[in-house]
Amino acid sequence: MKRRHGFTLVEICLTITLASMLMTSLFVLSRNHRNMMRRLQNNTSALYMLESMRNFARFQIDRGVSLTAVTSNELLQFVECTSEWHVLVKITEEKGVEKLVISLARLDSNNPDCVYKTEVTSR
Amino acid sequence: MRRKAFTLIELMIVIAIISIATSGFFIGFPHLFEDIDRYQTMVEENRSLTLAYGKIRNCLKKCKRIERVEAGRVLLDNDCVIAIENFGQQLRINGRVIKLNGRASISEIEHVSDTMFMTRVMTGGENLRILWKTGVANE
Repeated sequence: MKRRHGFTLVEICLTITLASMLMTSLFVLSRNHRNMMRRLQNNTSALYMLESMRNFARFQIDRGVSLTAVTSNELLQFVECTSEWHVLVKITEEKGVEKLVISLARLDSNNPDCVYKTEVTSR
Repeated sequence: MRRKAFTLIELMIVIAIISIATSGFFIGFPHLFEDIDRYQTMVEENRSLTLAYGKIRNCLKKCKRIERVEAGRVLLDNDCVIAIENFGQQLRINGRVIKLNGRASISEIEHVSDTMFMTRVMTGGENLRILWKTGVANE
């Protein structure tokens, strides 16, 4: 009987499985890589922006502006960041001291990766 | 007699499979290699900016007020000096040089008040207006 030299079904299945696993892992690696880059960038920008927003709020409060008058639009306009950044300001009270909590997030695809926060206390 | 070489068909199939796999890889990941280069630059850029932030903040923490702002330099009351050099690509804080990598830059110092000054910070395509204040972070 003549010997057949073709691949068996098991060999083909195994090859296809390995190839698809390799491709999937490369796609995941690529996606994670992009996310990591974006997060790194956001962290640095947020570090500077929070510093600036906190100091701007402090500047306003020192000039006699009340905590409630400090708005998120004002903070965003001051730092001149891109429209992807969003700010939420909230006033809280702890042991009789009012605090302005500034939350900052970048909404690229409506899902913020991280929310960065800082706070300014009233004198 | 048994042949030990590949046939033309076998060779063509192997070449076809390799070329399909290679083209699939390049079509599927067109920016992957560019991204690796950009990522390296971005890491350096962000590292230098974070270092610069820490140094400026640390310097400001130790002083109460700004003496004067002149020719790209901020002179503080405890003899600390923050100077911007090389068109914002380099900072000199108390004589120590911090080089900013990539597109990162800190420029345009502007005096705001006795305790505050303003700079422009270029980070990842954003040109931010940053207000700095002497003293500890939330004094």
